[in-house]
Amino acid sequence: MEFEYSRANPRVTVAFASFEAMHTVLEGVVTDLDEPAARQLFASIETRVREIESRLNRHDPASLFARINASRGREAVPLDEGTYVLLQLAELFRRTTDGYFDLAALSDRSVGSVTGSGSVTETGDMAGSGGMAGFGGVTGVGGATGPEGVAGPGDKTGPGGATGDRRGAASGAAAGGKMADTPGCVLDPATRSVRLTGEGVRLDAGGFGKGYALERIRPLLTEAGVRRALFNFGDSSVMSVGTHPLGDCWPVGAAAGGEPFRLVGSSLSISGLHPDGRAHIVDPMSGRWVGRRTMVAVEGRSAFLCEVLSTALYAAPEERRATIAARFEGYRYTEIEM
Amino acid sequence: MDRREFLKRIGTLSAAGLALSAAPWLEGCTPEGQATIRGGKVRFGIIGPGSRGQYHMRNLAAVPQAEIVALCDDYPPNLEAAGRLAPAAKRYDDYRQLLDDPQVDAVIIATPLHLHCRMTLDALAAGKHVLCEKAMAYTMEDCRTMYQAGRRSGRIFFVGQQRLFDPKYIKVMDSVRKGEFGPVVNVRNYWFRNNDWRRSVPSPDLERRINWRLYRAYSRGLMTELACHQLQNGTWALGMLPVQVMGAGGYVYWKDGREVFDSVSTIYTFPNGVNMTFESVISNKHFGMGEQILCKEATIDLAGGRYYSETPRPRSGIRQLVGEIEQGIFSNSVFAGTSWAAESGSSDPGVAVMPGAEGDGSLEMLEAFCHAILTGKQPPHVLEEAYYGAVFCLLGDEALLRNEILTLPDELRIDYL
Repeated sequence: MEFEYSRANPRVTVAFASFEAMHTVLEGVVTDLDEPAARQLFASIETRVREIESRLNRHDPASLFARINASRGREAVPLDEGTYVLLQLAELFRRTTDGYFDLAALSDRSVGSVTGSGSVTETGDMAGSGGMAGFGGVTGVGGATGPEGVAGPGDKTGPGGATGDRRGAASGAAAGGKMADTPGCVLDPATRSVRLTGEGVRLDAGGFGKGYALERIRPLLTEAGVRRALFNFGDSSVMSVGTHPLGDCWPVGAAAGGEPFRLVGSSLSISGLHPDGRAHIVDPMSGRWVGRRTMVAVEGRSAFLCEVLSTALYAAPEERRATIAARFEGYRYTEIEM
Repeated sequence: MDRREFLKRIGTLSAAGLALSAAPWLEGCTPEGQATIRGGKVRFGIIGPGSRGQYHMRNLAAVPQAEIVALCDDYPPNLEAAGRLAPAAKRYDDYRQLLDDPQVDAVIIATPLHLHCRMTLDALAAGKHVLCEKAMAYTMEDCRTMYQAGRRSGRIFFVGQQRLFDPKYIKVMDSVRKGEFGPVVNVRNYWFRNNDWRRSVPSPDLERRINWRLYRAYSRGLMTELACHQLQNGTWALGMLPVQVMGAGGYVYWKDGREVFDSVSTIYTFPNGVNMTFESVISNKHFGMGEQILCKEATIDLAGGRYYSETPRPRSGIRQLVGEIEQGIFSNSVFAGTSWAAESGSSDPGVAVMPGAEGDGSLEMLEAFCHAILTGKQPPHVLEEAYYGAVFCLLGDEALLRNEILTLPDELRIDYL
């Protein structure tokens, strides 16, 4: 980890740290901490991010996601509490984005007809799962609400109102890949485990991992008493605490231009083509890379939710974005021409 | 190459204690080197003050020890133009008359290739110090003759391989030879242009004189006019000579009566298996000119003066906030965008080899030339590098013409590397 600490401004101290993670770099600026506290904070942050990466990095054979993917749906894989909750939330977000956020979007496409294509519900109780908090209000479809008020079992339906049928979906998709409008996995609260719904299903954290990690950092900042901070994860996920010590916000400009975002304790996520022009987001409906040159930026409280929503809105057709975005109270999206 | 070897290589034996990190080039270019020749004067005659010759004249104007006292060209417009740069210089239309001028200590020969050997031999015989433009000569045998004559003459003899004097090249080659970038695995040289390589001709009877580069009687084309800038890179980086060369050349686009190829591709292979390429096309300029040393751990862009790590250090989007907060600045940080990933190597901005470095070594070469004349010391390696640089250009051209894989004849080897 690279660490820098400055007392050059007598009115405010500033600490900077960066380290590589999740195939990019996480960097942060924190003010008004003494140097030992700042070092300790960034060490804790790195530890937490490494722990998350060790679970979500599907390219690491030892990771939890790699083990889930390797199971090919033939067996349930036990989960830790944090990942269990994460997958619950992912399914909730899949439904509230009409399927355009899907952590199984990179799965092989299903072949042949698949039955039971209604939205599959997880079979247990999502309430009280803890772990992630402070997303702001998510108005779910079919009665699902945000994590602070997640509805109980049987109360969550897909966007079309279809009630899920776990057995049907699992058996149908097991022959190959994944249908567009079904989840890639089902959760079992009794054993706190997950089972993929098809051999070709692959879970991937690319569409939310950085935002999720940033959100998991926020409690560490609170515990350390940080009142002003800015974190940047690979340029596409940004999280702020408070404001710039010399201003009324953290002004963050997009490299592509436009008015800067004025972050005040809020987060920002931008989805689009890679800077070198490569597509890296898959449309869960078609299974094809999205090559749209218009980026989508989402600003709101939760870095996790911002990334989920920007990923979904980038993949979604233009005419559906406003409807999807309206379900996420407190989050606003902007389209930016590259 | 360690620093001591480097110092020897470029003729700075007495400067072993100089701060090479700040000025790692010739003794004659350093303040200490310049101090030893303060007050000295070298009187120059310029033979062939066309475009390249006038370029040297402008650089000589920045060298305190240099004075241009004579000019020679049998093409009056060039002589007129050069005369405006050095009004006090005597003018000749026959280089032998210039060589007879006792006021001339040293000559710069910037004439067409086929004249280099004869003029250099005559100049050395006349007791002049010589800086001859590259490529050294029209044939490999002529190169050897010139090399031997230069060694025997006791005069200072440079060939215009200015990259040997370019601080960026010197610094990065030092690192390459020390293995700081890992082993060298490939060397790439290319020079792409998109023009007919012709100069305007006021009268048809001057066509062959002015466009001498296009005619085989006077030039070996792209191999001697462009490759000669670049082929020393492999030898310099690897510390060894190529064992063979192969290639192909042809007339791809400019089929206008020229007698030298407008497209060439050559591969030189070194004893350790490393290949060095030189390619040139003059009907597409997209890639421009490039000289790259590919190492296991980094790519060195010699022409651009930058190197690119195989594992680039991630750049920072918000680090500047530290400095801004230190200075009490509140400003917009522009960095947000789509995911920046470490594997996007093509967007890696690289690292400057020598930030702020300017020039291409031509001025330093002239300073070193003057220093060598005034101190009476021919810098080691300078002539040898030029010799092999030219010989391998010419061997490459032979390979193109014969469509064969060629090795360097033993009789053309000199006691170097």
